[in-house]
Amino acid sequence: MNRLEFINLLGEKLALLPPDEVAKILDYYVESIDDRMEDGMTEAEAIASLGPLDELAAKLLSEQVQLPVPQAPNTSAPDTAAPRTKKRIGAGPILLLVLGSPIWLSILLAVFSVALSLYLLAWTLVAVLWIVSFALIVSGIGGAVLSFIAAVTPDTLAVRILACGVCLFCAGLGTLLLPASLAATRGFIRLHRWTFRRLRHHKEG
Amino acid sequence: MDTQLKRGILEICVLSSLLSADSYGYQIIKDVSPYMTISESTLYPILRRLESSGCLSTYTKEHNSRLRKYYSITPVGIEKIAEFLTEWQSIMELYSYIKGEYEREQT
Repeated sequence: MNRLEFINLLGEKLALLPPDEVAKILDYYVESIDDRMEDGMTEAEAIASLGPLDELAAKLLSEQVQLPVPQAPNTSAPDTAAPRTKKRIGAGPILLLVLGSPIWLSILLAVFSVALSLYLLAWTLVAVLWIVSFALIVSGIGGAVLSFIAAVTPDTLAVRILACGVCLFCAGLGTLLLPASLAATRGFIRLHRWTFRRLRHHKEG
Repeated sequence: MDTQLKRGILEICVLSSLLSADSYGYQIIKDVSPYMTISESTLYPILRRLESSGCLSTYTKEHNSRLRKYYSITPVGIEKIAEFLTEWQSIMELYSYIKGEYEREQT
């Protein structure tokens, strides 16, 4: 086995490790072999002096498992410790959180209440628009009809026509308000969806 | 010898071999092997561990038209040797106490 074959085989056996780590290990062994040859060994002797390839690869693989946690030697389970990237919260911040709860809880509650009331206010505005337009239409048409039927007082035709006109004007105003109400409702539904999508994104992301 | 203990001592041996001058893998093995058996596959993880804990730094230098990786001890590494020496001072005291008691019992 020559140097190249040795390095290729070792690289294959270490395929489980991250590529940059394998590159470092291979560089190290290439250098070792070169140094030994420079010291007077033949290529075969230099490679043989590194020991059996399988043993070497097994040793490197087993050592590598312990490397990701250099700050804490003797960690009982390196395979579970390695992927843990979340920071652990110490006792200090938790104590602060508990002691500060009268302050931050009430502020949070206030912010939440304001947000909720603004939200309800928006829907109330929409409801008011609908109610006003329907009231105008219903009362307008009703008034116009009644102005001819009802004979409460012995009034003149001119007064009846005037009353009917005013009522019809109101009904027209109400009809004109309908598309505005519809547009407002659509706008608020869109706003509602957008807000909740943003909130959900925020929570997931 | 206990493997954990041996590994710890080997780390200090490797660091000590860098005190007089920066060195490279094969030279470190030649320097340390008269005192302790050490192979390439033992040395590599030790060097990686020492590097990640800041005890040594590395750089590459051209040698005979190829690159060779050199290791250099840092103040953290020197501090580690000093810690080892003070720690072992107390271990040596314990050793002589244990030995004294044992020999008195034997005779």
